[in-house]
Amino acid sequence: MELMKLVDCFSSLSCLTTQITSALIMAMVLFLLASGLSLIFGVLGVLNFAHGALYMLGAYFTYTLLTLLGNFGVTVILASIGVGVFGVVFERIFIKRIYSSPLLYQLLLCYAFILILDDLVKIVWGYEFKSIGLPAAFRRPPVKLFGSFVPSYYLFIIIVGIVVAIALWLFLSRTKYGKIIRATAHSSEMVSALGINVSLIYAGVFAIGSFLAGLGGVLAGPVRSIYPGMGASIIIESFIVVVVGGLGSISGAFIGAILIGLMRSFGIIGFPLIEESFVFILMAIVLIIRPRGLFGKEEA
Amino acid sequence: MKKKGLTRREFMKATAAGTAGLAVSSLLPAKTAIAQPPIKMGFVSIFSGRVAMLGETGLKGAQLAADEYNAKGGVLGRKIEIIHRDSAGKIEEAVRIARDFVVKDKVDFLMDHSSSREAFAVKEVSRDLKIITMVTASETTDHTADPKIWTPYSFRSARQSIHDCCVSGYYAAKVSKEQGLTRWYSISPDYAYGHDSTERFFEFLQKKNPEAKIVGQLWPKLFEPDYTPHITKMLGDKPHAFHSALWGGDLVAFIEQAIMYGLFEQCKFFSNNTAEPPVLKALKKIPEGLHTGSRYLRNVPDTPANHDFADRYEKKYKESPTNWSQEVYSGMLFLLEGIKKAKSLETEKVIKAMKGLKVKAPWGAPDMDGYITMRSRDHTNIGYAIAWGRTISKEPYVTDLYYLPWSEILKEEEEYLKKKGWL
Repeated sequence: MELMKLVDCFSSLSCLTTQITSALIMAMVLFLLASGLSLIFGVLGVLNFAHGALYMLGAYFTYTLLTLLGNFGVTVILASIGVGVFGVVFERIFIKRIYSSPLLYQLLLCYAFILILDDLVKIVWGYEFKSIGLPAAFRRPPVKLFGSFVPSYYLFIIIVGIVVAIALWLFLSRTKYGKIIRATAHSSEMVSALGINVSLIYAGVFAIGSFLAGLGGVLAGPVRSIYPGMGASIIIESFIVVVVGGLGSISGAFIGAILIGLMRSFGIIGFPLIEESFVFILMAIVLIIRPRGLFGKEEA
Repeated sequence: MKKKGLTRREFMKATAAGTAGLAVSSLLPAKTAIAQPPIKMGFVSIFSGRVAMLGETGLKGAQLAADEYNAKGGVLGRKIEIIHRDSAGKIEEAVRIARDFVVKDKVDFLMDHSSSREAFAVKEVSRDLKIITMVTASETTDHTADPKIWTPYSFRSARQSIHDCCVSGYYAAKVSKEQGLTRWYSISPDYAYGHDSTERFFEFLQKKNPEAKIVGQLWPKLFEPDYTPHITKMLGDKPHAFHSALWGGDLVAFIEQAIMYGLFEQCKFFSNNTAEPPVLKALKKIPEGLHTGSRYLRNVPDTPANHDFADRYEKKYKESPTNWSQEVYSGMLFLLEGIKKAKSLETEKVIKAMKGLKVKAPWGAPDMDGYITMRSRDHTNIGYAIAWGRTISKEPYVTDLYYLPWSEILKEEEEYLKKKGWL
């Protein structure tokens, strides 16, 4: 009976639009996190478990800046750059020291930072959950699209996500710095031998990754509740996206995030009771058929 | 002369200051030496991570009660002292802390302000070490109702799920009959509390209004950040009304996201947990006309005693009390009044004193004359005020309060327990 609803949905343009946009909203926030994770892993070889904490910082920076400035546009930029700067400091002081250490040390360090940042947020902003609330510009009735309604803020998230994805892709594939980053991912010794300061590249990549995670938190902040530890609820799904898309692949992260969004938004129509398992089923299938992920490189 | 006088004055000053200091410092130990050692309470809860609010606001409730009793000279001439530790929500950690409190810190009583998961384990500590434990947060009915796990050392001052569900079901039945709401949905977190309270809610709703049909149920995981798929699913299925056991930050996120899709204009919302100060405070704009149960509210019941409690709490902490502050404060009242009545700290005597103990509490239900009672049969709290109503955007945020008489609640509870074979 529920399965019939799924069939009905596929034949109704308004239902399709609603579910696809709902998939894209989740996907874009996930993409922002997963692309940063993937980039950092691809270039630095570090599994940054503290990525969720950066997402949390983004949301809290938004909370404070929006209260202080009142301007959402400026807040988006300042808050995400703020997280990027925090990321660089974090990389220079701590992550830098463990590049050649075993994975276990990376996990320990990142996990420690999750706890420290959660407590820091608790001290600075308090233990109670907060809600940022929609920025004034988006407090309007939903936009009508093919007979369905999409909240205007969600359209904004989708557009920003796509713009960032394209910008990131252009940056990595078309610019000189992008090429250096890709070369570093391939062989940092070689890049270093060419006289390029690899350590600086690492810091830069960590900054970009943190900026993206921060931006995820900034965009999601106004429609989700924010609380110490909120990063934990998104980090698992981000990792799944990275695994599905392929470690180190930005386009993989993009497609992976959209697939997971679609799985959830259509899964819930046909199979409301086991909707969340679809994400894991997808991951299992990908791991069996293509263990390196959809866009993962052979050797990775 | 002048010079000498000055030195003398200086000397006097110094002596005066010195003796004053000596007097104070010699007074302090002397006083504590004469006074009895304090009554020590070990408070185990969650102070970190996503539900840090549980521990923080619970402890505030406990501390307020302790301060108020201490200001009147304590109990049996002894001050009340609370020590607290963070279990981070880990079962084995909560058990270790509870044991340490008893064995190393030599506390006189345990206060277990944990989620139900840890509470079941801590209960075994109280059974094992024969220490009285006041359970102040676990609302799961089984905790005191299931005879297989019952122990005389454990008392519960927290509210009980079955009581809340009964009132919510009755209220929803009344509203649904009036407004012809027959197609029902639910969205509740996917764990014991979510399933249990949703199931009970529909039992009571359908018992009182057989017309109500469940057309769909959704179970997002606990701490789900994004409810968009659930919301669009419900928009598509067009129920008349839906029930939710979401709470805290999850509920805030859900409400904010549902508003964007205009979900509340399409169907009536019934949730146990909207009218709780932290939720109301976090919501940027409280939507009008949501049906909600009361957790802690200063106007449930709308009595001077309850408003006075909220004022005292707000004066001390600059924030509103939560349901958790209320539950812990109740626990302190039961324990301290129990000790007074027993005139002793001896476990068996205090247990005897607390059985059936009636205490005047700010949230004592109007039909119970403002008293809450520690029921002798199963050591659980009854008689606290439970109300349902509709949200409004201004204080007191909930209006048209509906109370179900406790005689009715207890009748339904008894029926449920008999059905379970627990009574």
